[in-house]
Amino acid sequence: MSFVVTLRDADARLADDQQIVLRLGTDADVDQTIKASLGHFLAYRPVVVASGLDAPGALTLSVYLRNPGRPVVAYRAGPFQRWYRTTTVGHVIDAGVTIWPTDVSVEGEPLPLSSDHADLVVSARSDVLPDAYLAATKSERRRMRDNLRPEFEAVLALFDAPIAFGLPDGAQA
Amino acid sequence: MLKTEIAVEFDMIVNGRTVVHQLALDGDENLEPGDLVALVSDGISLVAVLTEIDDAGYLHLALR
Repeated sequence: MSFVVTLRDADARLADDQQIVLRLGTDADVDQTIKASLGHFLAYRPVVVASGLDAPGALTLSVYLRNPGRPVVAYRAGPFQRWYRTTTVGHVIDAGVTIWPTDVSVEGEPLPLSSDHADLVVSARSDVLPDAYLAATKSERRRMRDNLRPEFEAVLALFDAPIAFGLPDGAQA
Repeated sequence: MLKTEIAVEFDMIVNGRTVVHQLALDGDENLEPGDLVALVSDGISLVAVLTEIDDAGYLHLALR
């Protein structure tokens, strides 16, 4: 496996007012977001273990801890990313959602801005994943994803309205 | 011909390559190395070729 996620040691940026950036407007299709998260589920096993939990993996939402000296457009991976949403560490933690500062590499190459990467933990439950999901039929998988949908929507709801990349910071679309 | 769509986070595409587990699939794709697929995220799609399915069930994908 060449998709590697590791937990960074205590990240001093996890202060209440630290801004979090969610790229892509990934709430546009929550089912696709859930599928993408499922595709990375098992890669989070080392992070789960390092966090003292016992689960085969985790469902997360990939975000960035914004460096105040870095313009938000620096977090745009390409022209297909037209939107972003923001929230704060304090807002996320107050909602009871765990934040993991994580480094991610693919095929041995760290992701761009990996040092700013973090994951919001949507679920580290082990009751249906992964064996039951792999064994399920297409319709059963859809039903399982539907069961996960409220948890994803609850985390996505912690973010402010989408903002277009290119607009001044704070200008909502 | 594209065989299916696979949901990915575009962040995870590095140097035109990415990996994603079969958990991301709907379950009846019957993919094989060489198949063309669409990597999709937020309504945008990129064409990729499946280069390998490893023993752990990860799909290795390279952009066309």
